[in-house]
Amino acid sequence: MQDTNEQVRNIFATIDTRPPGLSTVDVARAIETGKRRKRFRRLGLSGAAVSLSVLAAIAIPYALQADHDRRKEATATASASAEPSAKASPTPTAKPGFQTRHYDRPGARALPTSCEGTKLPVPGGGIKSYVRNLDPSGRYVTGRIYGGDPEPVLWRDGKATRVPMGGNDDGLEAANTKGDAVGFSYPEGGPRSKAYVGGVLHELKGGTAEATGINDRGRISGHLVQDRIFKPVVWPSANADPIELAVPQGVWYARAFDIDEDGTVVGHIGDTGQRVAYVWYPDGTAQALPTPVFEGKPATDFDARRVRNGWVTGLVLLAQQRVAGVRWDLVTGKAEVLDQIEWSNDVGPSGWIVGMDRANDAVLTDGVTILKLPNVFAKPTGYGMNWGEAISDDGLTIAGLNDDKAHDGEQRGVVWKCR
Amino acid sequence: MGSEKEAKSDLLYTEYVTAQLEQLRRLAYALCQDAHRADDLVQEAITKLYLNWHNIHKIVNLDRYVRAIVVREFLNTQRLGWARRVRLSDKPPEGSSPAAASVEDRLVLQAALKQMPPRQRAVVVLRFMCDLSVEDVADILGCSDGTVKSQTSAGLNTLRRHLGAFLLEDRANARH
Repeated sequence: MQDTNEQVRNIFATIDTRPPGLSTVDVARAIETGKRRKRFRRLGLSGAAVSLSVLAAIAIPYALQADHDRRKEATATASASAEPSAKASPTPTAKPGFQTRHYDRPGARALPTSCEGTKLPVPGGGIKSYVRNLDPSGRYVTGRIYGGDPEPVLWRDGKATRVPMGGNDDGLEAANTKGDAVGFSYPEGGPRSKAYVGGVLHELKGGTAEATGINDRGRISGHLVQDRIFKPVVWPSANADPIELAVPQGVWYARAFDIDEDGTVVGHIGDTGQRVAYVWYPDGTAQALPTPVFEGKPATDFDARRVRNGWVTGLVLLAQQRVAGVRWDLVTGKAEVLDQIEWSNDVGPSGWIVGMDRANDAVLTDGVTILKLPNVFAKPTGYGMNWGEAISDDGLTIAGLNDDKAHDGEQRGVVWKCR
Repeated sequence: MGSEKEAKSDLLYTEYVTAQLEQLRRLAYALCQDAHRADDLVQEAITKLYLNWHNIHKIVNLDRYVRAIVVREFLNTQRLGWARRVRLSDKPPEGSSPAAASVEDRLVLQAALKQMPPRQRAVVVLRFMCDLSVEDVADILGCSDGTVKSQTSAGLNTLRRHLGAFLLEDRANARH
């Protein structure tokens, strides 16, 4: 009689096969690419100048140069280095027929000049935490902690409250200024969407689903997950049934990632490799966002992840086969590629973006000037990356992740306060 | 600047990687379930290995180190949502739910793996396909032994759910 592990191993042996078809792995090409990357690093050129494969562009590079960062225990202050960069996209592209909207926009103002980062506390003595979002005021941070099993956490003014959901790899995805938060849990049988309202955890209606965003009116964005069909939805409140958002016929995979204060939802339709960023308006209309174009070539895969006051950011795989930042303006209907940065994770009401630059450092940018955020922990030289994940409405509070070199690159949630 | 030294180092690298290639491709394929993506993962992993090749004398277990690069590549691509695979088509994608007794083990297992969160998938593949210890997997994933254990347990639950009564204990009984 075999023991269970032995049986499981026998079953796993059935998938221990080489991929079908001829191998496309090329050792000589790895050497050639490796030498080229080394050269570019020595020259101090950004990764943007290097032609990389898709995976290379989104993966964690093995930076070999000396790690100049000075590790600090809990906080790091730096006069954030503002470096003027080339205009993000010489000609932001618009889409014929795109229905534009009006938004009241604050006047332009200068980026902060210095930011100070502090790590978020992890209750229970764990090391790792993962930040997903901030509320517009910057008081609440959502995410999860690791110390054994991951547990969802809502931080208020830096103080952590655990919100256990009882599943596997659970987390809180977003919060509003009241401190109400949404997220999802992975119990058996698929994800369950949750709302933490007034300190009480509710399961959202609609069955297996992932809740991704919540605005100050308590409207929640997300998607139902029915086997392999993903349907974007809005829950008008934590107790309401979900309302499906329209998608073109034949689309079986569409996700909603964020909801603006006016109820506008952003996400994407179509599967990886051919995603199209999409916007759903509160009046029931919806449209694809303009295709980002870089150096004359339209992207073929792009999604929208966050929306604020008519600004939308997401992720774009350029036709040049690298991932870049992207910002759409629902007022003008234009898509702007931000090739200086790799990730444009969130956007504020002034259009300021937080994400990660080509050197794998956390950045804040208005689309023209890029401000590096100081490391709280130094990056491991092998595979480190730090990034901004969310920005408050005033642009002065940023939440993100910072590698901890002392713990083999484990990510810790951090909050930067800027002036 | 020793170009001769570099050539020798490149030769050693090529020999090592060539010998590892099959194993790495199998690992990548098990993780991402897609032949093209698997080869992309391996290509990028061996490129990164090349970039760090001059430091390998500092690495205690080179085979584990290279696997760790593949796994981290996989987890990073997953994090960005690259690996969801449902196409636009005129009919819904086929469900990946179980699992009549007639279905090949492999197909059922692949379907079950697709339903697991990426880290859980990595844990069970490393534990049961690569036969690595809890400690080795924890080292590769940069997490605690306890996390590996809990993820293993969750992964086995997922497998049981997908493989159903046909699997595990019942399977063993049927064969003996």
